[in-house]
Amino acid sequence: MEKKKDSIRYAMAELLDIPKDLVLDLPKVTIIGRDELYIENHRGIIEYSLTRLRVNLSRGFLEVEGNNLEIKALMADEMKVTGEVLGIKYID
Amino acid sequence: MSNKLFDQVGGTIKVALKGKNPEKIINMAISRGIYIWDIKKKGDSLDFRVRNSGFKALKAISEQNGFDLDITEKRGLPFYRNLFQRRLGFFAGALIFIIALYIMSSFIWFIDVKGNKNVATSKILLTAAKHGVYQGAAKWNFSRNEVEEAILRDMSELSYVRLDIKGVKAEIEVVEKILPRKDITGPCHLVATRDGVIDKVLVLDGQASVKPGDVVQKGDILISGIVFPEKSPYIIPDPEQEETEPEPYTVRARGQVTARVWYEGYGECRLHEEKLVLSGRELNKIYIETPWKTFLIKGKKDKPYPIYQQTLKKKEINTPIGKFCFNSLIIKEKVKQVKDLSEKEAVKIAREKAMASLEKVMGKECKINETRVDILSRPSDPILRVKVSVETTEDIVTAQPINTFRNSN
Repeated sequence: MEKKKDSIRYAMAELLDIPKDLVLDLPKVTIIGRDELYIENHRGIIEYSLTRLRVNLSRGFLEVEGNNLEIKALMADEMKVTGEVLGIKYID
Repeated sequence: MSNKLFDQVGGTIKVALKGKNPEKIINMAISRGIYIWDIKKKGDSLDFRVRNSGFKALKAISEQNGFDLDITEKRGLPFYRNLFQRRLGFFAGALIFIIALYIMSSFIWFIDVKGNKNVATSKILLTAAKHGVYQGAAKWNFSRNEVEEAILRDMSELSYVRLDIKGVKAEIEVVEKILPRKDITGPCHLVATRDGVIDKVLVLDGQASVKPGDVVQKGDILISGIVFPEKSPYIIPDPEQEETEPEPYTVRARGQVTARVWYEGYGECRLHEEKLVLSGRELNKIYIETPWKTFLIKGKKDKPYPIYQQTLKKKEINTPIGKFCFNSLIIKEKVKQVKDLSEKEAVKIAREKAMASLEKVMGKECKINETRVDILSRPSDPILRVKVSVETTEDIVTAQPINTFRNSN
């Protein structure tokens, strides 16, 4: 049922050319250079340390590896991470 | 995102969260709308900032879940209240200073008058004061335009007045009217200004009534403005024509009449003179006078010299609360000096005195021909008196209008 709803939404987004992060509640990751990272549509933090940050998403989670990671700003569905980013990984 | 200014106004708190899985607290805080930022792991604790308003709720969450929450730093306006209370005097002083500055700057302290040449500054100041611009006047008590107009109305000798208020200084700039010279244009005589013996007569217009060598008195007509036409000796009178006396006519007499004029002046000099002379030693005293008390700033209170001369330099400032003076007093010592003069020296001094008094009486453009000094006093007198006679040659004419109305009567 849920999957069907999603597929309809996906089709609608494709048809109308609407950004999918708005319609499908998908995460939007913006990375500027190596040391600034914006994550939108997140669902909270799972784990945080100086070298690793795991962010919960609507489906699976996002793992950010790096050095000296710091969450500069944190809001209900948006966050800003600074520090040296070495890798971003999606994990289901 | 974060608004730095409003964070400052509301105040922010930096906390250290201790416990296992601090992410849990963070997620809970976010879901409850508590804004959190600057999250950083430090050893076994998690540092972050929270707004003052959200701190209570955060504390409740962490206590419910068995976490330790320590405040490490407070920032923002609410936390300065303590400081404000501690230094109340300082802030009160600052406030009083600002108020005093405002009040003091709303009065006129200095007045400058510019642009006047013949009209006395004091007269302009007096007129301005009459309309509200004086030292110590409050700025809100007069309007610039009204004062300008009033001064212009009251002083007919000015053609333009501008009043500028520059801070506590009022600048009155004026332009004077250039009035036409009062010259006699109608018929007039030239009369003598002094007694004397005529030396030279030069007539440009009119009829001379004196000739060189005549003795004239003050007020005598030298060149008459009433001309009686003479019959020309070169025209043979027509015997057939009736002999008619030509009518006299009036002119504005012009010319130059120089005369020898005598002046007598008197001067005296003491042969044995006691004089007070400045010794060169001096003292300075500076004091400030307020409406309540006088403060001595520099110098001693007592009078140091038996005989002295003092010059007082006074600077007055009239304020609404009274008169303030800044006085600087220079005291110069004087010593008695006894001087005996020889007769020659005494005569010289007496003559100079007499000449000085004569110069006030004598005309400005005169040529001194001869001076003679007569000693009036006897040699035994303690005072030497001299009479100085001066003979000069000078122009003695002045115009005197002819009253034609009187003549016609």
